Amino acid sequence: MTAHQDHRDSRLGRTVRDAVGKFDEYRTFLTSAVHNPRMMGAATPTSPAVAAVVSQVVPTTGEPVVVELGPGTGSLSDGIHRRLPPGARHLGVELGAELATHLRRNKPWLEVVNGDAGELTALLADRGVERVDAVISSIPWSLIDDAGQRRILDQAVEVLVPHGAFTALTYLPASRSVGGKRFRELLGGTFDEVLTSVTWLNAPPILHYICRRPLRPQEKP
Amino acid sequence: MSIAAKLREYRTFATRALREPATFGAVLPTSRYVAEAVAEVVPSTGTPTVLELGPGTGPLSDALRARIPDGSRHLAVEIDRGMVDYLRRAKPWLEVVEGDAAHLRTLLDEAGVRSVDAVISSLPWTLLPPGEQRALLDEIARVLDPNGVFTTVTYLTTLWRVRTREFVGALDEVFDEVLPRSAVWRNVPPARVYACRRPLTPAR
Repeated sequence: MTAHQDHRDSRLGRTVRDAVGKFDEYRTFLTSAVHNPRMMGAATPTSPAVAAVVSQVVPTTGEPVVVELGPGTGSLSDGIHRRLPPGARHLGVELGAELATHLRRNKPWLEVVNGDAGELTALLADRGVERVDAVISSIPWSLIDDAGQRRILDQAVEVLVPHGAFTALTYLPASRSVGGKRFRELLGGTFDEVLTSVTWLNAPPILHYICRRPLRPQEKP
Repeated sequence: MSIAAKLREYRTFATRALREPATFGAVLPTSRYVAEAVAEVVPSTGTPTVLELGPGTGPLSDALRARIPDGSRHLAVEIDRGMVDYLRRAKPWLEVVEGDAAHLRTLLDEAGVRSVDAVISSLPWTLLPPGEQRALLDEIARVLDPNGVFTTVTYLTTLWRVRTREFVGALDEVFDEVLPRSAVWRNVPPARVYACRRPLTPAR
């Protein structure tokens, strides 16, 4: 076999592996969506373009701690993982047991926590994490009631370092619904800075919220 | 702002734009929607130091001033003498520094400013050659607080121009975080604001 062939075969092999992995991701996503429609807020896993935006808040230097809320099949996780320097920690808090199993199998570098984002501080404390540099959420905020949203946000704020970032995403059309506007108001009341960014290269387009500087001063021991 | 004041602002802008077309990147002064979007990256608590680069007639200055708490410092580096005179007259609360942003570190040393929490640029980046773009960005990275933010206004109409793409490439080289924010459509031309953090090459 020539070097050229070898190169081509390894590329083909990688493409096949990627395709199988992707298929597995879609299958897990669909199975979970069918079994737990209330838990899955997304119609499709999100695209690399979405990951490229959220991963901007991930520091590429130092030893940052990044927590994903509701990573699902992990469609944002690779983009985040690629940016993280050695010594960083990357945790994913996933409510769905099947999704958590899928993540553990396919993304061994991700610290998967099968649990509720509403218990975030306790879940992180169990793993020795007290401070987080970025909380990246892809949970379906529109399916969670006001009290539930507030509870998760309060805990995210509690673990964030002073200059840490919190991100959330929603489908662009959904951001204009009553629930979407209420969520935007909740973010505005929680953070000093709430920026938005739109990813058009996704079906449907995604609206990102990138939030910083919690307004309520957090008491840290 | 009164209508008369607004008219004075437009007249200053138009006069300067006609006299010095090479230093002007904008067609019209920036709208208040852009101003509000830009102001959001500035901390509304504590006493931040905020620096505007190329404020022109100051369309962003009022929104920034409305946002920052008392005791903060609000500076503006402007190269055009006519604009400097106008700003000093119309916005006495603004610390106007006449000079070239290329010598930012020196200008700030003279003003007694060590580091800046938010740098807001309205400089016409796409009129600058890549070498100058990069040199200016490095100079900005040098004065920015490690947790500070650099924000700049570009226009959607120039999005596909080589100079714009080069500029965005330079942003990626200088900053760890480069966030292209949602477009502001209510501006002529529609604006794209970038928010950048964590300089990668602080060269302090």
